[in-house]
Amino acid sequence: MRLKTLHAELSVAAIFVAVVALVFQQTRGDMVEQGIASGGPYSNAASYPEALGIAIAAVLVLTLVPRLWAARRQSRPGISVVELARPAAMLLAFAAYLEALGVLGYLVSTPFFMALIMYLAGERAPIQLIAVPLSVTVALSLVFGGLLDVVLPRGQFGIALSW
Amino acid sequence: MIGEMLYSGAILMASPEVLLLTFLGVILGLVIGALPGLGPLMGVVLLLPVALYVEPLAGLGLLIAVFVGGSCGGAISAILLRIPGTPIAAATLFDGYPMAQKGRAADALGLAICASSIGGLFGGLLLILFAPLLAAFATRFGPPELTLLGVLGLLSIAVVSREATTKGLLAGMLGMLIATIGTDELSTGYRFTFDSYQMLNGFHIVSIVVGLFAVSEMAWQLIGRDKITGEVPKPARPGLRSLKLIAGHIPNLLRSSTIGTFFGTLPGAGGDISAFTSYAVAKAVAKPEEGYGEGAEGGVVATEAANNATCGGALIPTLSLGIPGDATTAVLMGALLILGLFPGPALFADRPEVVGGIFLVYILANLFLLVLGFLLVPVFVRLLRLPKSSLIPTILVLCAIGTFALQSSVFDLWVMFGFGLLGILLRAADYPLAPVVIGTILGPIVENNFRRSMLISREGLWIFTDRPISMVLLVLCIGLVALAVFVGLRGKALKETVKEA
Amino acid sequence: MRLWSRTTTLAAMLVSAASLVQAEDFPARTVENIFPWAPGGAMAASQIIAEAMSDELGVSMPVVSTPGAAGTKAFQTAMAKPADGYTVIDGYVAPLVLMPVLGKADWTYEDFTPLYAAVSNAFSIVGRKDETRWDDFEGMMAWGKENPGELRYSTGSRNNLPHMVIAKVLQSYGVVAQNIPYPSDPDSHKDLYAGILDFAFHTPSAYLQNRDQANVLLVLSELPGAKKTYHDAKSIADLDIDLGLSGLAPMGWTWWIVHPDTPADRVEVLSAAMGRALERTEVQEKIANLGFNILGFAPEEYQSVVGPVADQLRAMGDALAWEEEQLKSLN
Repeated sequence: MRLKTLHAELSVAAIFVAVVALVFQQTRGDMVEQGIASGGPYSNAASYPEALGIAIAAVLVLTLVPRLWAARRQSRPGISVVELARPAAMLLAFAAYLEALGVLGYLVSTPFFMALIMYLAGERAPIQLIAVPLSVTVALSLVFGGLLDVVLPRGQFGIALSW
Repeated sequence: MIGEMLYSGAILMASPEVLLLTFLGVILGLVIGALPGLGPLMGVVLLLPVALYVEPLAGLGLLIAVFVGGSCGGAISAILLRIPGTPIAAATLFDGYPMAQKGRAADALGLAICASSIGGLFGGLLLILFAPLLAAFATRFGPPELTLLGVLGLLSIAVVSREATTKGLLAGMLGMLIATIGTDELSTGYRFTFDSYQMLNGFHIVSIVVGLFAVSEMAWQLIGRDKITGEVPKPARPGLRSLKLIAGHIPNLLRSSTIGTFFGTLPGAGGDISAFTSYAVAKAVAKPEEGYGEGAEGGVVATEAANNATCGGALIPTLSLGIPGDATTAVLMGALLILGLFPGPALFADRPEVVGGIFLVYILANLFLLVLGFLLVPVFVRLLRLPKSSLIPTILVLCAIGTFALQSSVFDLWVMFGFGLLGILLRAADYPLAPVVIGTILGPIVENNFRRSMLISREGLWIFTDRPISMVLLVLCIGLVALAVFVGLRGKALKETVKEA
Repeated sequence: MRLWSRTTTLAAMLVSAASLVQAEDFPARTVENIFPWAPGGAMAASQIIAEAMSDELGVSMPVVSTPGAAGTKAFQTAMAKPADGYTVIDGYVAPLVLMPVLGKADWTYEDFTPLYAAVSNAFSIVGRKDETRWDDFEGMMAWGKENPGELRYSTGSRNNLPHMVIAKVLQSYGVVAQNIPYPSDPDSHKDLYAGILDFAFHTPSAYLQNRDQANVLLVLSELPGAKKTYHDAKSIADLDIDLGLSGLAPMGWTWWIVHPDTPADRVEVLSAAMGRALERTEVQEKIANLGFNILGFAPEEYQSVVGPVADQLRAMGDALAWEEEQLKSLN
């Protein structure tokens, strides 16, 4: 199976439709309850998002109709699903990493995450897979924790380099 | 007034921290610019969290230096690899790469660095001359004028985005909508917060830009379509000869710098357009025997002078009006806002030392660029061989902890991740990303100033025509819409005739 | 400079930090101050105190700006963190007392454990020097009474403490005026001096910045020190009517606080360090230069100082509602 630009465009269009629907759901529901959906400029916070919602819907139609018309005639090869496996794996790993930051902390989770992504990106040399993640982890911890006073995520076990 | 500003700025700048970070910024900018796929915008995005953690001017120095260095770094990979490190260096490879093939890589690099630096300095000169004038004029700008300036900026995105005007508009409006999340300034009501305290102030601009640009770029890189192939030529160190060469291109330098600065001041137009335009002009003015497209020195000079002059130009409306000139300055403006420095006339009046300091770090960055460019070219050439496999995870970790550092908030991390997904999808669907950021910055300016105008006005919408400056801006806006419609229709007609032929 | 000096000491620190350290003494690592506004004069004041306190504690103490929803976002952010003493809340009056009074926060000031009271600053109502329609505050009030709904003013944000106090003053004079919210105080000051607004609230530092154009109409504090800051302009103590405002009630101030579950021994450490930090002469000088005053009330005085403020703000609460209703009926 191959994914074409058109597929992505339709997904984006679906997102836009969902966003517009959400805007009206909120302006007609939550904002009415708060009393900020009517009146003059001092109290009406709903008109502007609604206007944007309507404009987005209108321009979306203007974009999509000619696009669908043109799509019937031309077709570009697109990207095969297999090619998307690596970026998809990267995103999954990244999500897992963000979650792990809260549990294991920066110092423990970062080397594993980096090694994983390096492997995904085609690195196979064991020395590289160990040395690069470790040195980058420590270097960034130095810059952020040591120089910039940032409290990096310590996780639930409180493991961190102490500055 | 300018003298005082520069003097107090110089005192502020004369701290080791500012000098060090400006110096580092130029190096980092050059590196990031030279790496394929990462441009000055990405550099500023990645270092934004760092900049917020140091003294304000040092942080701004870092970001501005990255902007300057990044605008030049792209030339290195364009000349040596025929891959523009950044879109703004795309025009550089027309003549830069042929020069390298003819064995003049060192000359091409030297010219690119000299032209970048001189173009940047020229833009800086105009910045120092015009920004205070514009700011002084802009003290008369009230909410109606700011509303229309914001509208003008948003309209420019639509007119200027070369391809896909409607997609640019959609992306811009999405940004404007995203900016409404949080506490409404006028009613103090909560919009789209879904009863979550983390959303009371909307999404953090850094989470948005880091996700949208950096995370999506890394995923894109892993699709592995723009692999670097072919041999990287041997490092060539440009010498003092470049200075002699550049002396032969003074009219070209001045012209291209002017074009670059001009395009920089226009909201929505960035370095890529100014580089292409000045290249086209240089080519049109040149004699046929100069051989544009086959390795003409003038081609490299024109593009590189223009794209660095754009930086100075883009800072003019950003600082004096609070209207960013392009996506990179929009992020810079985000940094200013987070630091509590509200760009606009008030900044010039209340914090002249900061404005003067910004002017000077900009000039300084361009001087550093000249020196560092020459010294470090061989290093950058080696960097081009740096494996992507190490680069991608490093940048991802940087995205994560940089975003986390802002408010120590896990929520910000997930916002960044979400915008990463959105960025990937938008890229895949051929939507431009920069309008999202510009919309996020300009949206609140337009909405809140419009509502403020209506509150202040005693006769409704007429406030926009009663005030002379506002009237002029209104006419400009209408003219721009007319132009967009005209260009749109003509473009369509042109396409039709091409198809028929 | 901070960064520079730290760079130089970093090498030494590297050696000592080579081992993974678990906390045994408090504090063993960075203590964060969660600050409820965007950076500016108030944040600088907090940074001065945090810098000195960090020196006392022996660990660094960054001030983390977490603006949003009139300061309540910072409170909620800080309360979501572990109550281990490593998070201090910069307890500005708006999120601490005002928002609960307005029903926009589900806590009261009594739900926190106090450290020391940090700083305060007195607000003022400022007009232009070249104003021709009136000469003084009473004159402006007379003009405003004759032209209901015509006066335009700004307190920066809407429903903040200055807005509440000014609305109370206007209500006492029976004057209806339109507040115009701005994203930042300097923006509103620019429009005041450009003739778009009629008056605006100023902090001492804003007043000092705009001294050649600013005409202080009324100082919103009866404390003599505040009057001096504004070069002896008329204060609410000089008015014929009694506004029912005294002490800290009409002023901006912050009392640093921590999560109520924080262990008492750690509260003790933080509190003692803050008390010593506030006594330093260089801290007091720097704070004064910013136009702020050190409060320095001890934790024991929390109830007796903040209690009356909460009572007065509660009594003032209807001023904002009154203004809104009056404006609505005019349109």
